[in-house]
Amino acid sequence: MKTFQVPTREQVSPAVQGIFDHMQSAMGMVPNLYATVGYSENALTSYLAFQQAQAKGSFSTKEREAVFLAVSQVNGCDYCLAAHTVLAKMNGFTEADTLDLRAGTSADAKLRVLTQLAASITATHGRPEAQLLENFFAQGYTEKALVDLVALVADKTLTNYLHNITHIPVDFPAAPALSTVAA
Amino acid sequence: MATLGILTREQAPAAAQPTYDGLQKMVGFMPNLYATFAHSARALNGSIAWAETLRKGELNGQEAEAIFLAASEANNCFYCVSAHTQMGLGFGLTEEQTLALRQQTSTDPKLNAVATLARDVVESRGFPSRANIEAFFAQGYSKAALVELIGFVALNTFNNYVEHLDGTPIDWPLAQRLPTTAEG
Repeated sequence: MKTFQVPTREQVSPAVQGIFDHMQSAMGMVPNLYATVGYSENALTSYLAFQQAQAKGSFSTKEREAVFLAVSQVNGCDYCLAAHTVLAKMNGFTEADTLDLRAGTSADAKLRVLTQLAASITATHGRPEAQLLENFFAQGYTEKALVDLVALVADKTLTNYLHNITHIPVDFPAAPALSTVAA
Repeated sequence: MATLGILTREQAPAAAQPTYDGLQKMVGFMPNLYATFAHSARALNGSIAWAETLRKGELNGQEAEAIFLAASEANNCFYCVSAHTQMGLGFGLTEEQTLALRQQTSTDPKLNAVATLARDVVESRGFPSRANIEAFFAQGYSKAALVELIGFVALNTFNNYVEHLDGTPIDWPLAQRLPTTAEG
């Protein structure tokens, strides 16, 4: 069986090398999981384009990080939980906040509703409880936001599943365990 | 009851309207599911671009449809199964082959390895069996192809889940029901 390793620079195409250079200067690192997507130039470029479009979509950076934490919790991706805990803290959440977002117990009503729906969509493969949809719209979110929320779930599905399959090393500080949450 | 609803070209945001024209030309009609995505022009246009770029990667049209069929069957998305049956026929698959790919009983060893792994990835949330990963690589597929398979599965998640939220009316010739196919 091929074991997955993070590709070396020589193992990726020149276009992917350019993306790595850009990440290095923008983030100070090339995260191992993005580097692994880089085995395929088409997979990496199409994924980043989809993600960057959603960065200008219905949700703020904090809302997106909340969704990514909730989805990664359901899918059991330790890499993504570690990375998004760091990103969430960079965007104004405390570590305690990140645990609440993963558990769907945020004290912020909008974020609580958002993370509960994101987790339910993920856990049910797209058939969330009707009450969670009602709660979402009651918070003022629109139909456009619901479509964008599913887009964020799909975005995170790629990285969650890729890490679950490859188990490449986690190059972020490990996220705290969340023992109180049912998967 | 539809949570989202199908938008006409005139109801859709301006940035989505050229996509209606493009799909009308390419597919011959604007599929209801895309007209549902259109609530968000970014998600509509972004998901189409995602698919177009993945389709230029290592996996050919039949392999891509094998993934879409197996993953949509796993998610019980009969709209998507019907649509991808038609696309599969367009890429030269027979109807019997599309049925076999939905059940992972294809006699084509490469397509069967692709469909089997795709279904396992969906059902296990990214923790497929080692045997199914080995079978995929044993057919000569590369690590890039595996990454692209996961890309297709993730993209398909968007299609299947929006469909489930809305119970989108099927505007494709209906695929055959399998004994295991749930309604919806």
